[in-house]
Formats: sequence, C-alpha cells, structure tokens
Amino acid sequence: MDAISDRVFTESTTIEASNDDPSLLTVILDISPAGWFRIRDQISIHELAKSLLVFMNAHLSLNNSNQVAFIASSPEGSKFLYPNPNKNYDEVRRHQSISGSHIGDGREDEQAPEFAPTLVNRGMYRQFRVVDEAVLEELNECFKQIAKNIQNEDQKSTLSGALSMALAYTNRMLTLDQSISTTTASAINSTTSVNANAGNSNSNSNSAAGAASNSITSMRSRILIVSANDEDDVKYIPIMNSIFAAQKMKTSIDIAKLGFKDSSYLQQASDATNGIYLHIDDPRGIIQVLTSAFFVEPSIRPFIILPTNSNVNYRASCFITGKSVDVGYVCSVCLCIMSIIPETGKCPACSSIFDDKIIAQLSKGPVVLKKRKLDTNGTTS
Amino acid sequence: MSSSNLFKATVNEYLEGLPQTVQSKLYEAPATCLSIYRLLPPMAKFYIMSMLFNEQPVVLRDLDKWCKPMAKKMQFDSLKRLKSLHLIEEDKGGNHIRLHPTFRKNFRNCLTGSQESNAFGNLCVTTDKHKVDIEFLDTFASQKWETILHFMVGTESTATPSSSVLSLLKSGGLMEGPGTSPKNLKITKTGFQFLLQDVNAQIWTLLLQYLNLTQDLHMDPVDVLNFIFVLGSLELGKSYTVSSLSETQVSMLADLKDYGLVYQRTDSSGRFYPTRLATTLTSDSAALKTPSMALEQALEASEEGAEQPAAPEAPAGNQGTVIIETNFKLYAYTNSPLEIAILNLFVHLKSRFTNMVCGQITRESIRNALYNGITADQVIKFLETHAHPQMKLLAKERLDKKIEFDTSHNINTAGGAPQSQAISADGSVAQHKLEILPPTVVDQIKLWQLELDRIQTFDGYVFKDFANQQEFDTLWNYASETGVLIWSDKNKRKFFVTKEGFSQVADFGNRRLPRSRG
Repeated sequence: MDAISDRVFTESTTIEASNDDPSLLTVILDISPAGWFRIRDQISIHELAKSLLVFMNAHLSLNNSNQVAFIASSPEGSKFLYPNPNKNYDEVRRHQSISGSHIGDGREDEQAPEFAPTLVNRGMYRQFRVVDEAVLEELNECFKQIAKNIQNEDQKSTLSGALSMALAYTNRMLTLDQSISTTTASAINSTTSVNANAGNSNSNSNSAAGAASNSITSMRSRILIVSANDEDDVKYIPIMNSIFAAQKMKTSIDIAKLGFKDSSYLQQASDATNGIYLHIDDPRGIIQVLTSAFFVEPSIRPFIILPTNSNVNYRASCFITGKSVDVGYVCSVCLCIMSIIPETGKCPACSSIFDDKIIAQLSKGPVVLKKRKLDTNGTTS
Repeated sequence: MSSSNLFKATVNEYLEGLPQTVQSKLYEAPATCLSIYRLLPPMAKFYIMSMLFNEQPVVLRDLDKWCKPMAKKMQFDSLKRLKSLHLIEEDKGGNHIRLHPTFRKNFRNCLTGSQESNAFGNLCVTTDKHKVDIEFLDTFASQKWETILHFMVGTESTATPSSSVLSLLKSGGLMEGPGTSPKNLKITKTGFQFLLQDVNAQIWTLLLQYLNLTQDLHMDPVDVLNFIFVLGSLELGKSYTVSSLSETQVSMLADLKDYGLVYQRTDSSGRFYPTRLATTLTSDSAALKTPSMALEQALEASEEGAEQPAAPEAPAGNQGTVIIETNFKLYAYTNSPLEIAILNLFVHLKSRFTNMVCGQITRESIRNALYNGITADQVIKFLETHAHPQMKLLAKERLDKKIEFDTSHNINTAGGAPQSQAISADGSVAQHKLEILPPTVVDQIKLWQLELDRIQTFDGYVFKDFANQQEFDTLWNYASETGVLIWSDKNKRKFFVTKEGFSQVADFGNRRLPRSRG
C-alpha cells in the first residue's frame, strides 16, 4: 500500500524537474586570425559562422523566449555583435549587402525585387532573421577591422575579456526583466528603460516591486566558446575568476576547440562548470557536432551523459612569467603559484615576505656530494 | 502540473489524435514544424535536433547511451510522444530510427532560412492609411477577450459576445442552458476551471473547440491548424496581406477577429494585424507569463479607465493584487468583478471595500472548489501568478539570502571535486525554489486535496508466475527503470504495470527470456 502512494509523489516530482525554462545562449567566437589561418585547409571562418548561425537558430527554435548573444573576440578587443545597444532591430531594415566576403545564404538572389538585398533570406522566421542579419553584418565589419590592422605585431588573445563580458551579460539577463519585448531589445538597454518606468510610476515602491516581479522568471544560461587559437596565451587569472563567477551563476561553459592542440585552461573552464569540452579534429560538417553534442540545454543537462573528455589538464600558470607550470612553488599564505623564486623574496600576489632560510634552501642547487673513499676496513675515514 | 503544461498536453493530445496522413500534411508547412517542435518535451527536442543534421539513421540502442539511467522514464516518454506524432520512423528491424522526411526537410529549411518566402506570412509592403499601433492592438485584443470572460461570469452590463463565440462556449461545455438566447446560458464546472487557467491556455481551449467545429463544417483541418501556427510566428504591430491566404483561412479571419486574435479594420480590408494574443500562441510557460500579465494589466487598466476616465497609465509590473498570510487570510486589492468572481470559487470572502476584498481560505472553501473539479495545483498557480508584488519582493529577498548562504558554504568544494559538481549543481537548483506563497498554505491546500482522493485506480496488467527469481528481477528492473511499474511484491514474485507499459515489458520479456517464453 505504501508503495502505491510513494509512487505518485515521485512521479510528479520528476515531471516538475524536466520543465523547460527559457535559456540564454552566449556564443563567443575567437576570431584571432593566426589560429584560423592554420586550419584554412579544413574550414574557413565563414563556413563556421554559417554553422554557428544555424546553431543559434536552433536554440531560438526551442522556446519562444529563448535568447542568444554573440560576442566576437579578436586581437582588437571583444565586441557584442548581437545584441547591439546602438541598433534598433524593430525597423524593417533595407541594408546594402556588404561587398567582399559573402557569407549570406546562397538564396539571397531570389528575393522579392522590392527589397534591397539583405544577407539572409527575407522569408526567414523573424526571430532568426534579426539575429542572423545583425551578426553577419557586424562580423564582416570585424573582419575589415582585422584586415586593416593585420600588421600589428602585438596579437594577444582577448578571450578572457570576452568571457567576462558574456558573464556580465548573463548576470544581467538572469536578474533583470526579460519581457517579451527584449527578444529584440537588449538587456543593455533595459536598465535605462527600467529607470524610465520608475520615473513614470508614482512611487518608489512600485519600481522596486516591478523589478522584483520581473526577476521571478527563472532563466537558465550557458556559454559556448569556439576557438581555433593554439597558442596558450590566454590569461590564467582572469579566466579562473570567470570560471568561479560562472560556477556561482550555475552557467555552464561549453568549449568547441578547433586547431591542433588542446587548451588546458579552456578545459578547466568547462570541467569546473559542468560544461562540455570537445576538441574537434575535423571541423567539416561541424553543424552535426553543434546540434548533437553541444545541444544539451541546461534543463536536460542533469539527465544526459555529457560527451566530454575526462582527461583534464589541471595545470596552473605562473604568476610571474605567465607560463604554465607543471612543478613549481606555492606561496604558503595565498597559494599563489610560481615557476621561479621571485628575486625580491616577496610573494608577487600578497607581498608576504618569504623566509630567507627557506629561500636559500630552495635556491641551493643540487649538490653532488663527493664520494668518500671507503677504507679497506669498511669504515669511513 | 501547471496550467501551461495542461494546455500543452491538450494541444499535443489533439495533434497525436490526428490520423497519420493529416500529420504528414501538417509537416509540409515550416511554421507548423517549428510550432510542433516547440510543444515537445525537452528531451524529445534534443533527440530531434541531434538527428536533424545527421544523414544516417540512428541506432535505437545508441539513444540509451546518451542518457543517464535515472532519465530512463523521460527518454521513454519522449520516444513515445515522437512516435505518436510520427515524427520518427523505425525501420523494419526496429533497430534504427530516423526523422519523418518531410518534417526533417522543412524544419531544416526553417533553421537555415531557405524555405519559400511566404512561409511565415506575407508582410504588407504598402503603408496602411489607417495605421494602428501596438497599444491599440493590445486594447483591442483585451477588450474582445474580456467581453468573453465577463460574459462567462455573468457580469452585468457587459456586451454579449458574437454568436460564433457563444456556440463555441456551448459546444465546449463551458456554458450550458436551454435555447439559444444568451441570457439563459449558465457557466459550468468546466467553465470555472477554464477561468482559472491563464490566457494562453484559455485561447487554446477555444481554438481546439473551434477545430472540432470546423471538421463538421468540412473545412480542412490542416489549413486551419497551419493558419493558427503561422499566426503564432507573426510579428506584432505589422500588417499582413489577406490575399496570400487560402479560402478557408480567410473565412477563419472573421472568427479569429471575434476572439481578439487578429485585427482587421473592415471585413473587406486587404490586410490584417495579429494581436498579442495571437503572436504568443506557441510560446510557453515563462514566456507566456509575461504577455498574459501584460494583458491582465491592460485589462485592469481598461477597467479602471472605464470607471474613472482620468486614471493615468497603469504602473508597470503591478498586476498582482492578492496577499495571503500564513493564517490563511487573504486580501485582494481589486474591484474587478471578474477577479472577485474567480476568488469566490475557492475563498470564503468576508468583506468588500471600494478597492479590496478580504477573505479566508478554509477547508470548506477549498473543498467546494475541489468538488467543482478545480485542482489544488490550479488554485496554487492562480494565487502565485496573482500574488501582490510585495509578496514577490519578500520571497525574492528570502531566496537571495538562502542562495547567498548556500553558495558561501559550497564555494569550497567548487574547485576540488569536479565529479560531484553535476549532482550538487542540479540539487541546489531544486533547493532554491522561489516560494511566493507561504509554504504552510500551499501544503495545506495540497493536503486538503489528498483527503478527497484516498483511493486511486490504475488500469494495467499483473505479471506473475515467474520461473525463478532471476527472471523476476530482470523484468522488475526493466519495468521500474522505464517507470511503468506501479506495485510489486518481491516475495510473491508479482508486479503490476501500467496499461501503456504492458506491451513494452512483454516485448522486453520475449526478447530477454526467449527460452522460458518460447
């Protein structure tokens, strides 16, 4: 008899657990030219961008209130391609097709003649079209920028910056209002609009209450980083900080790594946030991978066996040289990691002074003791 | 189960009940593919998406490898749903599955943007002389809808909805009465349940009823359904041409206008505007909360506007009016007869003031509601969505404190043990639930419902007379994993499974234990 009543309760809870809340997907595309140049035989960034757009459409198709954001991280800096606060997505846009790189859908020639040519098919579902158009346009702009400044020698990865931008945006979306209108407007705008509302409404309590009631919708989020960068020049400390922030927000970081090498920091990022890390050797037909392995929504994540590699390289990087360390020194106060002993005798992070004796001991090179001759008696002299 | 799930269930049920040929025809419209996809459970969505760009059929056994064992039941449910919609096809041996080819083609086109251009409605390219803005559409929609609801609760001095709406209400069993005169109509038990649902669910209830009627009128259900789904993907505030619609769809326009789903200036006008009611048709749970709230807000605003024309615009996000205390006392800051009538269904109302009503939730009042066929979940859901902003604010504060507390204690484990992460992550998600209503009240309402149904009946089959313990164990394990097991007795080697699960368990038994069965 007990079994029967127990049954009823457990069943109802499993149904509850699997409801699908709207979710936010932030795609970070690392467009640093060096990495893409290296794999030019396998895939061009244009092809990849197309696949990513289809992937984002797929995400939007899951649920009417699903949201996407797209960040490009280039050596020039990171930039939100969608949503862009300076753009009004509502107007019917008749944009000139951007000459040069031609990444639109093959069908664009077949459009109705009364519209100026756009990058994507006009008949496309509106939610998709708005996102795709914006991303393609901005991406072309980015490429132009990069092409202009290609001589610049100082090419550092800005992935960590892009990641913090993504997290900041996610945080805003999770706590701020996501009314139906923000499918087109951005959260960047919504702060101002909330303030405007507050101004209109009669009392302060109203605006506070409004903000509270809005944040009740439970939104989930995840981040996908696509990178072909093989150099390990990602800044360790900002990445680690981002990882902890993501953990706190329960945001998973998924990584699609192209190129030839694994990136240990990105591996750690996905591992610590319950994300997926895949090193894609052959990026042709990447859409298949994107729509299967990387399509695990936060709502079903607890039930799916993630297609991720468990061999994670937990290497940390040295605070002084910035290179990754296999065996090194650790400050006993703040756990700061060093590959060499600092010349100042102070910890570079917390400035606590190390014990001279220990430093002397550590910096003493290995000493080869002279072998003492053994007496014929077998006793040392 | 929340009411949005309920509406999903009814729409899905209807779709599953369609004959296969009709379903196949439906999948020819990309907008319909998208909408049907959105109505599926999350796991099914995942399956479809991973098969969409995969040219090879998928081995059925591989699907098992994707999911953790605890999700067996979800997997089973999803596959069942997909099969009944004929979205997936099995090959002869039953080992491989693939997507319905038409669906696959059209859904792919929809995602890549290579479908024909009018799949999501034809925008009017010329400008409208009598241009209407979104605000106008919202008031239009809410007025129409409000009229229907007010008519149902029998508010005096409201206009009578059109005859097509009346016949719909009657055939749907929401209202009943002798004759055709609208005065004789009385609201039924299902009508009361209907009132408790949110707007989206209500519209779907009416639309499904409408679909049933159209079959009697020999209208093509595929055409009708396609149009409904296309409506859901249109853009608010834009006008669309009538000329691209089929004859059936044009005749539908007039009816949809009566429900406030579309706006057309005159019957002969060449363009129509979808309203917010229409564009949010295929959105679900959380998405629907906002528009329906906005709508209710508009409803209230228009009501207030009618009584005191000088009333300023309604303050944003202030749609909730109900406060519940832990001592089961309820205060509602409302003077809308509609809301008071609904509250009266499950609250013992005691006093009424110009801008508020007071009442008490008692065992008797809840029981009355339950006898009327209203479920405890519906009551709780209603109270939650209509809770006063102050209650939500308090609940939010409490939740924030709790999260803060938990994370500050969890953060230590974060770096070290990645394996435990998955469990702790979703465990704490479940822990941190926003409790808008006092938990005591919620629990008590649920308990009052449990009082009523002490006996539950299940249709199913009993398995007994096993040859040995091992045979029993294999089948028992399988049944409990797929979630079809209802009762078992290990000592007597008997167990009982649901009706739906019987064939599954029997098949499994035949495969696994050929020697004993054969």
